[in-house]
Amino acid sequence: MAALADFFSSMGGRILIALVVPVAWGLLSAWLFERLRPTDKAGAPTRQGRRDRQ
Amino acid sequence: MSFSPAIYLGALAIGLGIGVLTGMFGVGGGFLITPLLNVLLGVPMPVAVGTGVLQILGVSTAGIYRRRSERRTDYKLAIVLFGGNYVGVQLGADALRALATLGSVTIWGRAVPAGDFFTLSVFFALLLVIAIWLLYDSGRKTSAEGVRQGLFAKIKLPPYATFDSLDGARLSIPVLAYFGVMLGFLTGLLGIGGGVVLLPALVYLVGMRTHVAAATSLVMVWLTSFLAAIAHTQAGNADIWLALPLLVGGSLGLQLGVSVCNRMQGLRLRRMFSFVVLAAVALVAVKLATLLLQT
Repeated sequence: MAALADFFSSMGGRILIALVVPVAWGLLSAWLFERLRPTDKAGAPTRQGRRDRQ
Repeated sequence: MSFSPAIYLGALAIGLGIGVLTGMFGVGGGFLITPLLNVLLGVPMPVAVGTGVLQILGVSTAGIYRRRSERRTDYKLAIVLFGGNYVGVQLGADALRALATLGSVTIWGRAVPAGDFFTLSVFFALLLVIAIWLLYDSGRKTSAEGVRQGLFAKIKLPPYATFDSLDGARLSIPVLAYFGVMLGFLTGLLGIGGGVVLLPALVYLVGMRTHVAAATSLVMVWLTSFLAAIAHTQAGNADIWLALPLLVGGSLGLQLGVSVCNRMQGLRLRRMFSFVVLAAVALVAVKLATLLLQT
């Protein structure tokens, strides 16, 4: 645990966090909002849902 | 670096606002984040630049994910530009570090912090040019789709490369690489993704179609912000805790902005955006004036 804490406070660990957190958040939020798009009963995106994706 | 809870709440609000603009106008908003963090929240300029880069990395990742099914990106052109980008980002981040260690400069007999003064001055000039261009562009009747041969095609400097997205047009590799250096420098120095400069440049200088330029510019913005995130973390400028509320607010605002965008006409949108940029110009001008008058 201490070794992990040491790694994340080192320069290499800080760079890794600075790269992984924004990329992971970007992917997660885009995926999540795509899942929450309005869909019809068959699961296809509605006209509003298709427009919102553009 | 630690900030008060009010700063984190302010960053959330700025992220939300920038997200709305991103959704409405299709720009990353990096050119607004840095001055807003500095002017409204008082975040030191180097930290505002470094943290803004992390937000751009998140937003461009989401943008690429949303466009993943499209086949419009010209990866060959993106790679050629990227060669120069790497050098530019390092030069820009080094310049910012040098400005921070410079201390103060004397302007009209007053000692002014060099880092804040120079970066705000470059921001003021850049935002003013962008605002004037947007106002001019939104007032024109013809669209950018009419542009086919860009200015770069007229420059004869070997070696050359041909690009499928330009219908096989031949462009000078050194010219594209130096253009990449300039874009990278802006990212390293100002913390902007470069999309706001790159998109019109790809259309008017390179001669790309707007949709292809938008997709290619997004990939370029991602690559540049990825490099800049490394450079600014090494320089101690990137604050991940301050970037988090920007990222969360940005994602929520983006959805809101896209919904608003779908209910408005393109021309009205572009005109509105030029006024947003003009407001940012005024904000930076006020900050510059206070910097010069108070010190």
